Amino acid sequence: MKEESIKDIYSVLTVVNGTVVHDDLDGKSKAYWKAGLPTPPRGGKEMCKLCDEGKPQDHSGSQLGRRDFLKAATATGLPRRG
Amino acid sequence: MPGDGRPDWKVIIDGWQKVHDERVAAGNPDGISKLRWVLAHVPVITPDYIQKLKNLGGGLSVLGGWRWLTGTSAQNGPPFRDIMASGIPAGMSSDGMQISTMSPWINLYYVVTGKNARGQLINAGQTLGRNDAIRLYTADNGWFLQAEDKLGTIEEGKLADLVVLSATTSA
Repeated sequence: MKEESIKDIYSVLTVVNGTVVHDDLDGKSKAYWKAGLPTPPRGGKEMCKLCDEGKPQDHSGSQLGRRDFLKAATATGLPRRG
Repeated sequence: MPGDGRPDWKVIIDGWQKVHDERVAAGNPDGISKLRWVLAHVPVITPDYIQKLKNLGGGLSVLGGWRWLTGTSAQNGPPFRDIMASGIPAGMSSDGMQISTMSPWINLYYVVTGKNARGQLINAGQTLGRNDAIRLYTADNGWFLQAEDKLGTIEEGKLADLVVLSATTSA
């Protein structure tokens, strides 16, 4: 790998203490992000830590990608944390 | 900066040395040497003060991303190579996102190349190899949490924290 490419490395799978907290081995999320689209559905694979802990959450709005959330936060004046 | 002209990092380490000496004189032979006091950011430090802090049992938590973002040849550092060569406990992180970048790979790019976002070489002579840079971000960080027996490397008995990357980091 050339030095300039180091900046472009990213995680395709992240495991924290044995729990998968990020899984994009199929590359779908990255492809959607690059296209500026909301994060794709995960095919039933649960990615929510609370759900994993047996505390089901309402994810009906989860098709809204982070990029769209930031737009919405800006429009509504929601504080953006650094 | 105090009136004597010393920069903040000298004031801090000299202060710790004074407290250490006072504790030793008061009958505590370890002084502060078991407390793992840490100096953070560390854009500038000299080898003699690295050694002084090492002797006090301290460590250095260094950054790179904000130098990549806004650094110049006059605003560069940290002196990664001096720090690594000293053997002092050292680790690396991304700092707050107000002044830096979240991606560890931007930070590691800066450690390895010494180049800022404009492509200018600003930290010449203080860069590290890729494996040493990655150690700063992984294996060497456990010391700062007093959890080097649980974090930082893939070994039996440690927490199963790991990441699969999009590409190999080897040259």
